[in-house]
Amino acid sequence: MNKKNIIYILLLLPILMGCDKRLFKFQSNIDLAKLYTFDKTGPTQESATITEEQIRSALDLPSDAKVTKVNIETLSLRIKLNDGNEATLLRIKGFINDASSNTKIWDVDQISPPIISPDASIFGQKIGINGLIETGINKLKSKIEGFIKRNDFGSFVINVEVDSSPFSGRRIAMDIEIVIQATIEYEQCVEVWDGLDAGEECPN
Amino acid sequence: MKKTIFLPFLLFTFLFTNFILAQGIEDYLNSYTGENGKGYMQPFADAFGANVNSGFFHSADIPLVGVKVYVGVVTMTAFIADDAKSFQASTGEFFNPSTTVEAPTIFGSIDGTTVDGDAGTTYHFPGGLNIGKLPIAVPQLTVGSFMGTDATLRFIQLNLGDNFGDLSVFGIGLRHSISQYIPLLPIKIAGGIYYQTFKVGDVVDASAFFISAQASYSLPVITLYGGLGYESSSMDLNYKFGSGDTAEEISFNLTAENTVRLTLGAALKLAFITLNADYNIGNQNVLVLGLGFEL
Repeated sequence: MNKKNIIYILLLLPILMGCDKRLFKFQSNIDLAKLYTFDKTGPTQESATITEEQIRSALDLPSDAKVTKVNIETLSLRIKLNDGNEATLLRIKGFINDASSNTKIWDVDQISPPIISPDASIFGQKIGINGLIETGINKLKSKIEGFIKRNDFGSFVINVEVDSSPFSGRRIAMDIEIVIQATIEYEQCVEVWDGLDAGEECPN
Repeated sequence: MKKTIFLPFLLFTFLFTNFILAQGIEDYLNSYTGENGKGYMQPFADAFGANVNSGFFHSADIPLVGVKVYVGVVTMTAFIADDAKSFQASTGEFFNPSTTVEAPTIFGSIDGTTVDGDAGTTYHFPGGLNIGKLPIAVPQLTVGSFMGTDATLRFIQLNLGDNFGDLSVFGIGLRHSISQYIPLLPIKIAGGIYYQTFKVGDVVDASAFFISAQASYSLPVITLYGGLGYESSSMDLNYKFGSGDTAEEISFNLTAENTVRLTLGAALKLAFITLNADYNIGNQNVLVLGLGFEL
């Protein structure tokens, strides 16, 4: 082999290197938004259902992905006032309800609806829900994880209970959107070019 | 979603870029907004910018007139420093307590960073690709000379499917011989100016600019060359954050922190084949290997 051929092969070596499966860890974000419409005097409750299909379709994970963890990052809400609303401050409670239990997720008081005329018909700024309750968050996490890993099926209900605060009994006419922000951590072995030396070794 | 990452070098595709593309750029960036997104991607902008501004020349010898053509493939490899593998990231809006931690950049560890919040909430910063070097390859054509001037062209146009859109790379450069004005100078000197654009669908829109003073000294088979250059590059990223009705359109600009670079290299010419290697020292160091046919 002459010198020219040796040089040629050396330069082409990276090109001729093959592929290898390497492990990478990814994250998908899902925002589950549910709208509740209230129009009643005094304490009132509305519910919204979250199904396993909704969660899986929001994720669109690759078929060979291995889900390692589900995190509940934040819960937030936004409010749109409707005609006839009298409540200036609110107490809002949330519950997760499945066939086995009804668990409180949050309980926040003195929430101020947006100072926007009902005529404007728009939602106010997003507000973070601070009064979260650990048992409720864990239940929510467990349901979502079960749906994704396919060891829990069906649906669950998020009930939202609203009353005027500090004095109960005023007319509440508003739409409240609740957003649950979750992250899903997953692993996947992906074929990559050897020369990139990326990721980590795939488990056998 | 297509998960096969390898796309052959011989198709002159940008390897690393396709790696990201194969996963879907938006999937990678989806976990980040604003400043966190910038911190996560800044090392990529630096390494990519330094790469594309490399490998334009392997000699400063430009004949006054006559046909001179070079057709080849140039590979550039940016070496990722340890400090480019992590950044200071802040938890997002509404997460309690608000926390700043060290999290992996796109080149960092595949393990993300987790922050525990109130009442069982968790904020997770995603991991990176665990990469120590960023290689790319590009086809290059140089044609000269007219009045001691030659032109260099880089061009790629590929449709990468519905997930990724079109990949388009266009680069053009002009060089002019300075040594033609300085008789009896033992070395060749030239000045060059280069501009490139790089687009991937609606997600990435990048451009790079490079100006350099080049010098070379030729021996019978080997040419020693070097240069001092000034460079800049920027990258616009546009993607959706979150999912469903609450998804937000995110866009930001990354400007590479590279400015001045020193190039030192050698080219070996065997008949019509030219093999060259150079090392670029700057904010981001880059190794260049080139193989081409030269008339």
